[in-house]
Amino acid sequence: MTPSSHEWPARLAPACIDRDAALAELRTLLIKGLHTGLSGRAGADEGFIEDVAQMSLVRILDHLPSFEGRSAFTTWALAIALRVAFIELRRKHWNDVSLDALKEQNPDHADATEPSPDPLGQASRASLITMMHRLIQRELTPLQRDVLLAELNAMPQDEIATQLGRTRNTIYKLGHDARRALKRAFEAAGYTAADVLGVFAETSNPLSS
Amino acid sequence: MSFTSEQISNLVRQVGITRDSELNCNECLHHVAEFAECELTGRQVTEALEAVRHHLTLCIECKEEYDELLKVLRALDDSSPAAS
Ligand SMILES: [Zn+2]
Repeated sequence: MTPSSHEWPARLAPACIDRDAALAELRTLLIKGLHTGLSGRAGADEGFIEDVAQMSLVRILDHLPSFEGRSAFTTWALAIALRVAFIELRRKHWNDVSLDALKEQNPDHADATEPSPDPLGQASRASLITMMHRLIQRELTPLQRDVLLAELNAMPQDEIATQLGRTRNTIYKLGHDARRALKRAFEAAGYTAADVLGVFAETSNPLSS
Repeated sequence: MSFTSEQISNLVRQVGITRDSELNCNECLHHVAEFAECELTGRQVTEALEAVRHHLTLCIECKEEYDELLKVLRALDDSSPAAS
């Protein structure tokens, strides 16, 4: 019989005589889940999955007090294991890519010009792109620009954090602050979020696929 | 530095849906198990969990992990008579 969400934390507590059995069951479940979740991923071989399961167990035990029972315990544990797995996969994939190299691949260019405001709200895609180039240079700090560049090149946030000597939370906040600053600048120029999204609505969005 | 038009297009979309208050990736992980179960069972998503959905539209990494979590949960559900 599978333990309930209520039973798992108690069984995993250090003083529980059933702890070793609970750890073994959880490890088996994580390995099964990781096989499914990572199937077909380059680098996700048996040894990788075993290592990730072990790292995940450590992290799950560390975070046990934060489990609030709002989901099944196993769902919560699998979400953590997948986070651990993808951090490791991304680290392997991006190991040799530096932020400086990305900046060299994206040199400055001076063809960005301010579009004239369109009072009828019929902003064109091209003019928004041109305007965005301009606002990135004018509204953002060099550090915010570096974070955006890395994110838009799909560099993982943990990798950006490592290379910039920051935490992942700080990287997210830098990106968020940058987006908010750009949004305010767009609004100050007379464009609403609806204008912006409307212009791009007919093109595909890789983030929502 | 400069950006390609495709990168700028993605950024414009992200700026368009940016909110003053957003979850970060750790906060998303904290709630994503509950959100995934709501999605799978058709349970109503609370306002707090809507913030997870919003984060997933912005964060390609959390979205990738979430998609795989759904796949795993569906597979485990198919292979087990009782889920915990
Ligand atoms: Zn995220």
